[in-house]
Amino acid sequence: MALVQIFKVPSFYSSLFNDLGLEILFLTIILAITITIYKTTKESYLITKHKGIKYFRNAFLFFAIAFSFRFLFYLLSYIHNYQLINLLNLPPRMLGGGSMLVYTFTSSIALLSLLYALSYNKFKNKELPEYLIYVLGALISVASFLAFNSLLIIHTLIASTIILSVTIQKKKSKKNNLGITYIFLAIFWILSIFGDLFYFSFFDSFRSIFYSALILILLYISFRTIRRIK
Amino acid sequence: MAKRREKTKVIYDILKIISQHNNSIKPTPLLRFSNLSFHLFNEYISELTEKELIIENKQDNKSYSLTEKGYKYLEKYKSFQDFIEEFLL
Repeated sequence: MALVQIFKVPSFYSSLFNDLGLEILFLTIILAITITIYKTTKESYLITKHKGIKYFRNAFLFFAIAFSFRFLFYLLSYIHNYQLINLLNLPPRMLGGGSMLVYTFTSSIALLSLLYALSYNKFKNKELPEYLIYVLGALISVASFLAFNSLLIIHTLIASTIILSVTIQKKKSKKNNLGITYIFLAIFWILSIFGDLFYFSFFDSFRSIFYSALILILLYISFRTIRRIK
Repeated sequence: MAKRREKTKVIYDILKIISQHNNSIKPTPLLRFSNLSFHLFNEYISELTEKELIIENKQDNKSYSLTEKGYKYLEKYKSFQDFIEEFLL
């Protein structure tokens, strides 16, 4: 019995650190990119006071917070799965539920902010109140807490509206704009939620691909932001 | 908040008008091109002078010119406008 335990130790740790290592890598890269976008665009907002820039910045700030809480959720899942919970003496369900609630709230705000930033010029005469985004985010978060599938449905609806808004605007704009990039961002965001939803199942193997694609898209947006602003 | 956004656009317009007139324009045409009331125009000109974005050339029959800071502001504002257009904001 003792021998079995001894032999299980290496695979246990290697699996734990492989999975967690990947999550830490994703989180670090995503945080670096989203915070770079948020910081780079600060001066442009201070000078122009353009609400579109404000919500664009907010979207990336909330993406950063959302990914941090998503990581916290996975960290607690790993701790729970590897039965380390007794060592740490933490209530996993409460902490996991709490971090999931913050993740769904902040990711919904991020997506709604991006949608508002992209369709802001259509509301010039009738601006929507900012608190509406937070109220909607809270409602989505509560709905997702009751049934996680609803997050996928609501986010798919918001992402589809982003795609529609971008498609209409892209046709009007002659410049080499970010239309296609936003469309890919919306698609891979939904796919990453699919990956999260079907975690520990067949779909889980695609999760790394979805997140890698998401990182590449965010990296491209940050590259274009730096190139245009600096 | 909407008023503040308009304000930055007005500042940009005033600076652009000065720049387009070989960096020297008298108050009357500047007032006409900037499309502001006399009272507002004076407010903006005082603020821009105070912030050292423009200077008043008293020798040149009271004309206004951009300072280096004013040119930099104009350039930055232009690049931010391009950013807004490119990013569909």
